[in-house]
Amino acid sequence: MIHILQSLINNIVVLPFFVALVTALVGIMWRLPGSGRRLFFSVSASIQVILACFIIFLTHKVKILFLPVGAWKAPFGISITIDIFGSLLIGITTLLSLFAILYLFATLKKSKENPLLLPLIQFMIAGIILSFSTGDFFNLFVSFEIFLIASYGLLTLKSDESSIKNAFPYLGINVIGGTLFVLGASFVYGMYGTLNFADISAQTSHLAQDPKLILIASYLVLVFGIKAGFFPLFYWLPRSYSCLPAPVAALFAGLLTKVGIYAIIRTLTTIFPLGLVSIYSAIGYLSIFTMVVAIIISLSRSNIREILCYNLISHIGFLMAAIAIFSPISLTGGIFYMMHHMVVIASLFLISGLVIQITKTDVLKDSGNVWKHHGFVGVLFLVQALSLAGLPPFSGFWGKFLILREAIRFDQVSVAAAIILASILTLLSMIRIWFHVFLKKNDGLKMGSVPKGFKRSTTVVSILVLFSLIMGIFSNPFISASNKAMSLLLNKSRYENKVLSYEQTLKMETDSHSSHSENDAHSKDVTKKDTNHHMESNHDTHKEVKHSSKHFKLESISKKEVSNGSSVH
Amino acid sequence: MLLFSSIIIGIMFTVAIYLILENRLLPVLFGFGLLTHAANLAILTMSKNPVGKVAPIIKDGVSNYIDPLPQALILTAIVIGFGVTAFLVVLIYRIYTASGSTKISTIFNEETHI
Repeated sequence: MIHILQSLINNIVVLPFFVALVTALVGIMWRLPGSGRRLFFSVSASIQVILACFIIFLTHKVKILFLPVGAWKAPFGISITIDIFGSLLIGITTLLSLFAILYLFATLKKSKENPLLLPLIQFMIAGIILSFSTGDFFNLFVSFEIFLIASYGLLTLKSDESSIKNAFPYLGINVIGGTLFVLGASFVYGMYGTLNFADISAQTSHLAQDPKLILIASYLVLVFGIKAGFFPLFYWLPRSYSCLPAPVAALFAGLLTKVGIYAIIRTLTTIFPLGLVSIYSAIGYLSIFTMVVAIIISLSRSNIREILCYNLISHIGFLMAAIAIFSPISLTGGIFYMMHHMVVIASLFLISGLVIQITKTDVLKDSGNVWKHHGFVGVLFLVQALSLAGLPPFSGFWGKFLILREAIRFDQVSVAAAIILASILTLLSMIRIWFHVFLKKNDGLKMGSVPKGFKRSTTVVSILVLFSLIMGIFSNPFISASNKAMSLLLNKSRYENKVLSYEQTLKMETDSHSSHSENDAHSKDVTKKDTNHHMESNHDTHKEVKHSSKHFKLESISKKEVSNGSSVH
Repeated sequence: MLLFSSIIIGIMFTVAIYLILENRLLPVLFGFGLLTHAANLAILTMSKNPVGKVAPIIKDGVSNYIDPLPQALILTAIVIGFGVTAFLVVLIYRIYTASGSTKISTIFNEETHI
């Protein structure tokens, strides 16, 4: 009975990816856009959200879900692995895709809908979900390519001159990024003879000072940094994102850059040994430049979408700062901030879509009057803008507070200063939009009749804003979930153990569960107390990790010998 | 053998980057193609020196097989690279028909604010 239940649970791991993929394929077959097709897509997106919620529930119970595809043993076959961090991101991804699709239905006429639009969105979601749930480098590369190719399609779907011109640099940078990634994967394979995260982790646990390892890790961080939009590598992002329709732009902004950050966090925690101090400090310097330079550029831009794009890049810098400080609390804050930012930036792009529906323009100078005629849209914008800037009752505050506190605690004065400066300038750039678009009186602007579907799309956006508000006001469960995700990320032996010695999982689970559940704080007060404890025992964690991974290394070697032996005979 | 192939990979990367930085679209296209091939060759090199090794078909008394995994990886990478290159060809053709030029400096001349 337990066995059947276990196998059922294991196969649920691939379901969100699989459902998205099948939906996309059916969408391609079902060519003509219509009500039935739209219903199918929205039902499928809701099913994905439910599945993702179930997976979040499961990961909170079992910590790590693991499926060796085709029952091939871990270092050899494809391994699908979801831990709490991955499951949280899958949850947000499916949620955003549902809201983007619903918004799309409200604003886009059926006759004007491109038959490839919805399948491509689902392909992109499938790729993103796969990249959050994969357990080896090559599969990560494949999932990157799945969502990138879908995003190329989405960018050029309109096929007018400006969109194809803007797609070209995007394509170029991503082809180069993909090639460098494949090269990095081949280096990893050449050095360690494996691509499996857990196996690399087991083999490199004692190599934290190895210059070759630092080189390959920093190379991979650079490769993922291209995707995330690090400081010198972000010029392509605003150009391409700002020519997309609002819901697609919301998905791009909310999800694509975060996959890069996810991959960096995965690389520096799960895969390579903890304590690569030189890489952290390099990321720290880059984060300062990313935060400050991008937000200053955003102040010079003159249309809403581009301002939002540069804000997006600037806030990638906050996530990088969280990685750079690399303490348990800063990572908790980073994970929470990541979830917050995915929701907030996506809803801001949707709100900009609403504004453009009303005023028919994206340029700040020509816009105005919105507050007078559509006050509710103004309220939605204000909530999300203040949340983005990080004002206390909203969700942006908690993540920023944790990261800033850790920056000050570790004497990273420049990072702390950059966080504060970038937050103030974010507020300034949001006030610019607020003044020009909402408050300003513009007699030249004709406020046409409310476009069809405007009410429905506003409802969709306001539900998303409500979710973001809940994240801010009732932040306890979200922060404790991030805390659990963080402690699982730093507890490398747990991951190795789960993946490399798969049959013993059930037994191990019960053994190790009790010892680590004390780290998982269940309320914020406890979080704060606990984090102090964490702080002091930061070095101890490293030791503990090393110690336990040694223990597991012996096991994994014997495991490999057994499987090698069986393959020869 | 490994030295030889790494020199070839280096040359391929150099040529690819040179081509990508050209001003015309067609060399850029070839540059991207060459870049993916260089990466594929690098993966193949990771299966170490093949001299004196046999194909991974299990027989009694043979143990010096060549590592088959890089070849499996390369196949996936080639297919993905092929798809992306096909997309790139169509995109470049579409840019050419829309703007009537293959010079990148003239296509991206005006500062486009959308």
